Amino acid sequence: MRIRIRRVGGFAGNIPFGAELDTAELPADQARRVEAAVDGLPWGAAAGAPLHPDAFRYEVELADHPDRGRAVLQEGQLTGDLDPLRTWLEEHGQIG
Amino acid sequence: MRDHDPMRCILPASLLDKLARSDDAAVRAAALDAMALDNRFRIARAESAARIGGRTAARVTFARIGGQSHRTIYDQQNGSNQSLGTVIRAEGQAAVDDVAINEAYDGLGHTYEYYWATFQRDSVDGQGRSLNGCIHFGQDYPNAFWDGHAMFFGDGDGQFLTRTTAGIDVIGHELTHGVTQYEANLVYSGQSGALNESISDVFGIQVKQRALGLDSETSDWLIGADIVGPALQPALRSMKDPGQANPHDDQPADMDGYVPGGDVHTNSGIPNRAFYLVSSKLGGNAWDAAGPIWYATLRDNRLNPTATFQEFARLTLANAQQAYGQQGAEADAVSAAWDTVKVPL
Ligand SMILES: [Zn+2]
Repeated sequence: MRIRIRRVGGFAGNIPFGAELDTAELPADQARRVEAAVDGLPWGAAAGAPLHPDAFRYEVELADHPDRGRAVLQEGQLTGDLDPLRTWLEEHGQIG
Repeated sequence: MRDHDPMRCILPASLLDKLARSDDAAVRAAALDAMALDNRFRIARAESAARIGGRTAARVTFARIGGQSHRTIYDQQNGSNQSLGTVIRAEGQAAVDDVAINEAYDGLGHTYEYYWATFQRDSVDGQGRSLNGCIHFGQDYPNAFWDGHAMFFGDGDGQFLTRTTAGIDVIGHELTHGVTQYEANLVYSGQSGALNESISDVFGIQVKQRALGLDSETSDWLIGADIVGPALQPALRSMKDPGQANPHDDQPADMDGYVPGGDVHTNSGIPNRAFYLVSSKLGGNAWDAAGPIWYATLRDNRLNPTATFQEFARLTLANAQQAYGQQGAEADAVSAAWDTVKVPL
């Protein structure tokens, strides 16, 4: 599963920042947990307002399933089984 | 101050000041009595103190009570919990051996000073509210924010952003989110969200300009120049040239480039530039006339939480005309600025 993740908002919200994670690059059991958690995201739901000014939000899309649209997560929601997405973004994220 | 006042005899003036801002209404009232304040002023203050959020009452101009910040710096010790951490420097305490602590303390002070000296505004709420700065928030966290109660500073990831306490404009920006929360309370999405963001940049840059002695001419009008890492040099945003601050800056410079559904930090470039144009046209310090026009607009009862750029622009013109005259150079500069960024009045 190829997962595109974009960090939006924050004090530097005018600078795009994102990464793509192919779960094939993760250990098999971790990949399964990430895929299951991503599957259960609120796909296509309207994005809520940021929790406070200059909070981050995360936009998630599936490279192979554009039909599912986008899921938007608040800062702090990339935890548990979704944590590998956050660490991947921090380590491999690209500006632009 | 009357000599025979019992509270006055016992308590030093600085403590009285503190008591006058107590959360306990009885303590507050006693302290105000002790200070023998003008009766009219006391009534106005008690009325506005009873309100939570929303607009402040008429400006407080009685110099005895305001003019003193109440800063506390907390160490979050790299945690991501938004409850206040360990107190590490309180108001009046000497500098310590951590640059982030001292920068945060000084930046909160510069912001307090800007609002007090320019508008006699006593802290973000106009009521002398304590200013809390929470440093070392998160792990290499590349961000800073105001959560409605306190300002949080990340140490930065070193690439995207560096130590966020280093930006005086950043601190002014975040605390201005607090001011906006108590005034127009602009909704943080769409055009009103971009206005909310712009107002934070507008006053954040003035806090920096005032602290460093920069006028409209000598300021670089860059936001975040002191906190960008190597990937975003030389700054995050440019109020003078939106979109040109660094190779990745996506801000539009006028309405032709407005991004529908864009981030509030993106479309804020348009009103940011309008403010720069007014200030540079009028010359001198940004807070001579441009700042007061924007501040009066932020406090204007006619400014709705869901205001559009056009509604905001019209109110800046109305406030410029009211303060400086229908045909004044100030009103002309305001009209010309919105025309340049293609927001029709
Ligand atoms: Zn902001």
